[in-house]
Amino acid sequence: MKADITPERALAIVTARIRRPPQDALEAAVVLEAWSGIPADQSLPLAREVMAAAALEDGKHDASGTRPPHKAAGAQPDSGVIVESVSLMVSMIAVATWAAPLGVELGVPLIERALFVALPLTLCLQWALRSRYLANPSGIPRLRADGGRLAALVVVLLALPAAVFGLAGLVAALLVGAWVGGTVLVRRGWALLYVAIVIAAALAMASGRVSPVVVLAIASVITSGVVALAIGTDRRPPPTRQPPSWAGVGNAGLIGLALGVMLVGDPSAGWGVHGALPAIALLPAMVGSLWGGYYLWRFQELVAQAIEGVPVADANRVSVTGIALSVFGGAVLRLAAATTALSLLLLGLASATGTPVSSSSLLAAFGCIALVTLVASLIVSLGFAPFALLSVAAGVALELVIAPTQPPGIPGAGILLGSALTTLVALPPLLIVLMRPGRVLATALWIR
Amino acid sequence: MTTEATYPYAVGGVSSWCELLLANITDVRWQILPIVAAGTVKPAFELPAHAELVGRIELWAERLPRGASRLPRDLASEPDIPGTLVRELIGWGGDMRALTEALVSCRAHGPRGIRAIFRRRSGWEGFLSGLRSVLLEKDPEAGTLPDLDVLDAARLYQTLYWLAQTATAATPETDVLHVTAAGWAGVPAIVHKALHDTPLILTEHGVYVREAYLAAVRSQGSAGARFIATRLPRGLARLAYSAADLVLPVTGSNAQWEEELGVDPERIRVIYNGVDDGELSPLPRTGTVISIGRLDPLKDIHTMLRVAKQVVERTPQARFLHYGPPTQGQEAYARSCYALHAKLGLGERFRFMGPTNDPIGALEAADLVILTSISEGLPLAILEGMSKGRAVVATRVGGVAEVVRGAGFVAAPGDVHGLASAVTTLVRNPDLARRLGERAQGRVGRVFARHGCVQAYRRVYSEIIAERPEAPALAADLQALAA
Repeated sequence: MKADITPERALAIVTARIRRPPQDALEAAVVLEAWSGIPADQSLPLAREVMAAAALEDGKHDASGTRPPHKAAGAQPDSGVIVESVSLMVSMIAVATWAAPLGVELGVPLIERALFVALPLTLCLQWALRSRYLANPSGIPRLRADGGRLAALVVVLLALPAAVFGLAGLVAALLVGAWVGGTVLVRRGWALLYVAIVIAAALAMASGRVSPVVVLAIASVITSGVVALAIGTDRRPPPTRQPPSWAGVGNAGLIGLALGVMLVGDPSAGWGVHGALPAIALLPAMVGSLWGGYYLWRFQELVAQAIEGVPVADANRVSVTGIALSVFGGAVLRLAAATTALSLLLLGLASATGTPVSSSSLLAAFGCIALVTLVASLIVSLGFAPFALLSVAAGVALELVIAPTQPPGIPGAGILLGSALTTLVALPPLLIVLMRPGRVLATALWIR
Repeated sequence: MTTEATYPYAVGGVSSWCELLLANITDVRWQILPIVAAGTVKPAFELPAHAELVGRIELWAERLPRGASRLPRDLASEPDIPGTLVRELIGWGGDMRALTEALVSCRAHGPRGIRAIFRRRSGWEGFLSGLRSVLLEKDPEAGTLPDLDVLDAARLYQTLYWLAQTATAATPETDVLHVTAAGWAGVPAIVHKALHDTPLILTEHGVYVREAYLAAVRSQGSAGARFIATRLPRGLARLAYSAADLVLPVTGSNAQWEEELGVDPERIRVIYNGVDDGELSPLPRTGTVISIGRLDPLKDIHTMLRVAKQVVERTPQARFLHYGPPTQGQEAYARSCYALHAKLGLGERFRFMGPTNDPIGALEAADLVILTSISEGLPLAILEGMSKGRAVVATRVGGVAEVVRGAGFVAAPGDVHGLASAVTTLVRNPDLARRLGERAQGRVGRVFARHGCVQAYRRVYSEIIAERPEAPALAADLQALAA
């Protein structure tokens, strides 16, 4: 059936309705049918004639349409990120002050063993929790949904060290409870409460009126209780997307564990031996890591913005000054700058106050671990978690192999060599991937 | 039966139709394979004893795909799946046989193999090469192609990845494949048909392509985004049409679109939706106008609100009741409806009643039924209203005019004045509304009865199984490919 309307008139109707010429014949037919009431048996043949009329008009119109700027949902870091960072630093200093009184009460060897267990286990749990729960806004409700079995798993994980290492293991479990609980509280937005708990515990230990072990137990139990309260009272809607698989969580946990082993695998660092010092020495690297990580947070959004408007013909152009490399380079520079500046400040303060500091080499070693953490995080976010694990494991293996023969004069030399190997293994493939931002977005970031 | 974002996870016309078939064809063992967005958890329907879910395909999930990878170790022999998908699916005149072979190849590689292919450089480069060739196509009907950028390309690549994952889904042995939408739901069934030569029938309620174009027009996105949002459904619909032994639109107007996209008219058979032959219930004569449907742009609730505004100004006794929840993902549209309702000052004269489990009860309390959609197949809400003897005022879209003929008024979509005049006439003349309602009920009994609909599907199943050819050549070729 033929419509009682000319193609030119129909084109004018379609153009008026959608404020541009039709994309193709089907779009013209849809508009004529849906908004002009022309039945399909008339609108479909008419639309073909409309396209012929539009071809004559071609060039007189801007057919590009509007392009809304790309905005990646959830790509912005939380507004409370500064509070989170400051809280973590304050907590770190406070926790560092726990080592001395605990060492006095329980003996240095026991505290050393406890820290050897607690640090890797803490990093393992933190990485695992972050991969499944804490890296996105729906994480806490998801944590609530998994609460029962997760609590059981954590109890088993904490009971194991106690069973294997006795009192040292129990102390390690209490430390892990307090530290990992803090990570959850900070993500929940209850960072200040966590800082209050940690500082109160530090003051109680320093006062000498209560046994430091009892204080640690109370702090750990209170933190765990507050974590349960924080998760239980989160009223955000349950997540609608499937979480990452448990295999992915396991992989992340293993990377965290390996980083923890790298941290304690070098005996020259002196965990537990020199009181608060190794922990204080970690502070510059931690601040650098936070700053670099904060900058990297927007990686996916920035890459997407950078390739918007780039013609398909240039999709594979290699660029050493492209956005992906720039963001990564910016993150590394921030990490290095903050770590170096704060390390120098720490050395200066130590020198001015006459406080013994292990060594500048230890500060550099911790900075290298921060760099390894940053690189591993980015590799995991690109969907190459097994490669990240392999790289970190290679570094750990080297560190453990050379540990017995390490020269005593260079504290942290094992960590330096291990993290250098990890960086050497991981960095070249990462840089090659990052040189092609279009491809990295399409093949790595968006296909997990 | 393969479904897409409908049965058994979402309520709506297609799900009601699925339920009708399952409830009335009980001597068949039904296997349901739904495609849903990741995170869809709770079914909205309980399956009868003779039906079972045989899997669930989740799109856009965060978890890694499961299953073994069967990726060839020799990279040179690796198939260019992304390139073939973009060329044949997005291209205006894509080759459906080549596309089917690519999808069968996806099944052969398995979920992890597909992930590996799409994460490789060769996958991305094959895709880009295919996309460039599509963008160089010249066809008068295809218009001027937009300048896609790399971000558009990356988005399309991601979508094709999920399409390839859909093709990997396992399908059980079956006698007939019944696809309920000419889109993603067709993909696993088409692969199954290619491998086993199982007969495939396709029922279209709305027209998949038309609805995709409507959504794209409304989105006001970039030319590139619009191009992708329309070419992909067009390719999927062409694929489904090419594979279907029979295409069963619910209305003759859908058939026009199906023919336009290449379906041989010989393979099209209209089967109307069916409803119970309802008993004529007396009109309440309260000036109550009812509508049932999701809060969705396709239902054009804004026009309905404007119609209500004109009607209540003319006839103070009139009141409107709308039943139906917002469509998932269209919450913003629902909010815009509430805002317009407030702006027009309709108050209690137009009430959003939310979802209902008793549409018949709601219809019995109405004097007439209104529908203002800009796209429809054969709307059950109208049929059910007619079966209870209610006159209809509706827009002339899809199969609406075919249904309402002589039982109410139709007007052009968006014609607020025409629709409001019709409603006003019927509210002011209850006797006219009653006479039209009686005609409506008679028409439902003659043409749109549940029994007739169910029997028509029974006949189709029997015929298509009886006509199944032996040892088809394509199936043999493709089975070899999959092996």
